[in-house]
Amino acid sequence: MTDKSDVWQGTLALMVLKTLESMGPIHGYGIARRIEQTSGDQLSVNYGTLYPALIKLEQEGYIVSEWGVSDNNRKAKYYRLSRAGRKRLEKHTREWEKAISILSRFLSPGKEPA
Amino acid sequence: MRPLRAFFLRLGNVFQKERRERELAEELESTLQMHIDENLRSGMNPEEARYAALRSFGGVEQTKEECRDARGLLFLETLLQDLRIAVRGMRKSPGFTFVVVLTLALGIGANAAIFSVINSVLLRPLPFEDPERLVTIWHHYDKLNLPRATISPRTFAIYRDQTRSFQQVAALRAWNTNMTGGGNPERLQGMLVSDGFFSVLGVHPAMGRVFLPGEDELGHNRVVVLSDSFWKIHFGSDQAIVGKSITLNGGEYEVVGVMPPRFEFPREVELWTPMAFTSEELSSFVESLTAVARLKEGVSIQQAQAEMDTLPDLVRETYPNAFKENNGWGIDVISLHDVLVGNVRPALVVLLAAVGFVLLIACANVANLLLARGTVRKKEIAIRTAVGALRSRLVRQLLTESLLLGLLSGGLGLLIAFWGVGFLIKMTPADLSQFLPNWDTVGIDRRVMIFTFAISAVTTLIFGLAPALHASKTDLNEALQEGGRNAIGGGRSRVRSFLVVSEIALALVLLVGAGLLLRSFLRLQEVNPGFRGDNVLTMLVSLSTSQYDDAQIASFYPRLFGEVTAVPGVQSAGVVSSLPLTLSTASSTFRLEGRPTAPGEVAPHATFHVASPDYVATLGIPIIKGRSFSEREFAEDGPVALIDEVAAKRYWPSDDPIGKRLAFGFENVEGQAYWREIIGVVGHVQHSGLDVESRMQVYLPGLRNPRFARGFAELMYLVVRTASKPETFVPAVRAAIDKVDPNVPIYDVRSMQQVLSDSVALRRLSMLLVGLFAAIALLLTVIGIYGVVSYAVIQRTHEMGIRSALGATPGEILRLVVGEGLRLAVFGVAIGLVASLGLIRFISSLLYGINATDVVTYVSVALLLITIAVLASYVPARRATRVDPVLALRAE
Repeated sequence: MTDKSDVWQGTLALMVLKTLESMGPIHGYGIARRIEQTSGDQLSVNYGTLYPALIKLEQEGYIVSEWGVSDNNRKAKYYRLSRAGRKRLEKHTREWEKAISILSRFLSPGKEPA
Repeated sequence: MRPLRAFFLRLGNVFQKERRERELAEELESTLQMHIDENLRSGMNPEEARYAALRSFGGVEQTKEECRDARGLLFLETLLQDLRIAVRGMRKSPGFTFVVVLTLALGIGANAAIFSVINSVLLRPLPFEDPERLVTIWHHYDKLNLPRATISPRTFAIYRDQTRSFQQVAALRAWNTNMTGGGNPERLQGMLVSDGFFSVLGVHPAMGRVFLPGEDELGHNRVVVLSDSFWKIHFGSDQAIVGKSITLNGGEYEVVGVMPPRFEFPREVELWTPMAFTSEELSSFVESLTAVARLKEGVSIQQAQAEMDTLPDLVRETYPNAFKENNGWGIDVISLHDVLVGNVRPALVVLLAAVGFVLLIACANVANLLLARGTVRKKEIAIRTAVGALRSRLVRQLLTESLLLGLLSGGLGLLIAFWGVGFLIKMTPADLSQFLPNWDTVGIDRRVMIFTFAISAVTTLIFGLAPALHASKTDLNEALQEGGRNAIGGGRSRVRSFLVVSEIALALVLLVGAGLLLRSFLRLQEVNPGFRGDNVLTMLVSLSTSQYDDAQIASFYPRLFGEVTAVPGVQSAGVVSSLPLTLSTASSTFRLEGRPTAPGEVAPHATFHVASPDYVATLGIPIIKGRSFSEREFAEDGPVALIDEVAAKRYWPSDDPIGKRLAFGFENVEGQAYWREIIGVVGHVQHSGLDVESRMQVYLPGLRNPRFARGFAELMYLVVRTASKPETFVPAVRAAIDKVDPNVPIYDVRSMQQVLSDSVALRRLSMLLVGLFAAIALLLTVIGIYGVVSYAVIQRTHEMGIRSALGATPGEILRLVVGEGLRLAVFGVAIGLVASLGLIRFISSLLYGINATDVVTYVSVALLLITIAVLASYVPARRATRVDPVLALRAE
């Protein structure tokens, strides 16, 4: 596991929101697996980080949780995106795209910043 | 408002803990199960699947703790939890809690008590409008060694009318008056005030009015304003007092107003009446007025001072006759607050520093106790760490416990402060407190409470942090091993030693301060006051000049002496216009016959005292040469004078002064000098205080100038030499005075010993308080040294056992342990000596007759502390010698 990076501070919330948007209601375990898969197993999600993040997002009203039953009949807590969460996701996605495009201009060699 | 919403949800979570806990546990459990399911699917056996899941989960309990952190207001929740643990802990060890809280409460209480005085006297603004713009104006005469003199009516008029810095200037002068007309005659403290006095201070009457312009003219000045307490006590808060008349010095005065409560300027003044100048007085350069002024908006004291600095030259040009001699005359503008606080400020600052030191020492002791307890709690802390408590979390919990101790101590400290403030107020003689601003507000107010709790909190950090950091740094393996033998807790004992060394250093500084003050005080007691203070009774006897004419005044005193000396046990009696050490003096320049003062030369200058023939003998002032006045010279104010030995040596170093003549300018009769022949030389008296140099003294049998002569009769001190304890003669002397005139009030009745002792009241009080604090500091330090050495002995029981098994004699072990205490003491003393030398200059203004680097004090204090340290380590050392090697080694 040492070759996997931990999730960067501040990006986990965005990943969670995006995961919920694309997967619909899903439990914590599913979120963790999904993030790991999406990252091509380059990221490892620690529950000590994920669950507190979920709690915060829920308290801030971006996600909603309810108890449900999983595919193999286990009781599990399911999380889904709220309307506020959807808006936040859009906003943050835009911001991230912008940030990435600016950074890439700085970092890619050869291309002078316009 | 997302953050707000989250806050309320979290606040709610603090109180719905159980449900949330259950849900969290279920959720994590189900996640774990999903992991296991997955692992099973990939072909692991159940046990393997579970372990792999747990491993990849990374600690269920830790995750829970992180979630709790995110979920609730962890701060609040943890605080409640820690407080519960702390209270439980305190209940379990009440002795420990008691000692800690009492130690700290003493320190905090002493600080709060001293601060409450500083709060009122130094920090609180004066109870007047815009008090920071209020200043006083003084003269100084560098060449006469007169640093602070009052001003004259003439100069007052100049400052009032011809300056730009002041919005308004007012003058005042004490006017003690006899009120008659309602039973016993009463002596009142009054003030003559110039027009505008009340508006300079910016105060308004609670009832009626203050003085109108024009009421400061003779003939219109029979009006009076009463202080609130005088009105309440003497007139029973009579609502219809305004317009009524009272009889003062035999004259009718109309009450025009009553001032609001707390306005007494100066303090304890009972009434004010307008100062009406005759035209002669107006042009007088006799300095008898105190000036108080309000600076114009935006004008600083420095600017006003700069303007006043230009005045002496102008005045000298305008009145060439008034300032012929070069006496180094100058004008000072000093803030009213500074004048009122005076020499009390350095004393208060030193006291605050002293109690601060006591509190630091108390903190060090408590820190040591907590460190010792940390050892006892090692296992508890190790277990907490093992089940996932973070170090920061443990530090917080230990600090919370300290905070609870700190707050309890703060609460108890506040109670001690209530008592301490009462004690301070009682200990402070009225002579001292009378002029202190806002003295009546000294007590525990909101600011003192805030201060108290602030120092409790800071204290907590000081005494709690080191033990908390240390206790939380526990080696799990070592602590959890049952019966694990502690190697000597090296780091911890270093901290303990450091604390004790600091305690010793702090205590040394305090002891040096107390020692220096004590030695100053003893030096002061050795000062020869110039008179014999034993068995002398003194009191002010006041004749009302509107009831006594000159002839009556002249015949009153001989009759008085006749009656008083007829009292059995009274040896002699006399009167004087100003008693030594009572701050009542008048001084003036004078001329010597045949020796005119050249322009630019410093004129002879002395305090002058009107005295009866037996005054000098009654007070025990030695007559060195010649004789005192005769009865006749006193009755007729004969042209004679006594001078003191200082004046004799100064002006007649080789001649005999007897028979030479001198004249005071203010005694001029129709422009002609009134020459007085020197008929005697008497000893010099420490008139202005034991600790200051007093001016040379001239005694006169009366005052030729009738204007002054009459004024003096209103304020004569009767001195009576008695055969035994002077206080017991008060009723007999009072009865003797009644035989002459029962309407004469007497007041300020004290023995001369009392006068002597009151004159050093501030010094005695500072010395006693610093001494008290130093004693507490010493006691705490002894406890600290004892604690550390005993702890070391317990820690080293094993080692001691081995040593004696290997043949160490009890003497060697004793030396080893006592040597440890001695080493700490020497370290502490060395640091303390260096610190003292740096700090002690702050008390140099409180010292008298000794140097701030007085070797005797430093050496004796250092030896005292080292001796005490050795004694404090001797007891635990004896215990170490009794260690049975067999038992010590078997305990392995």
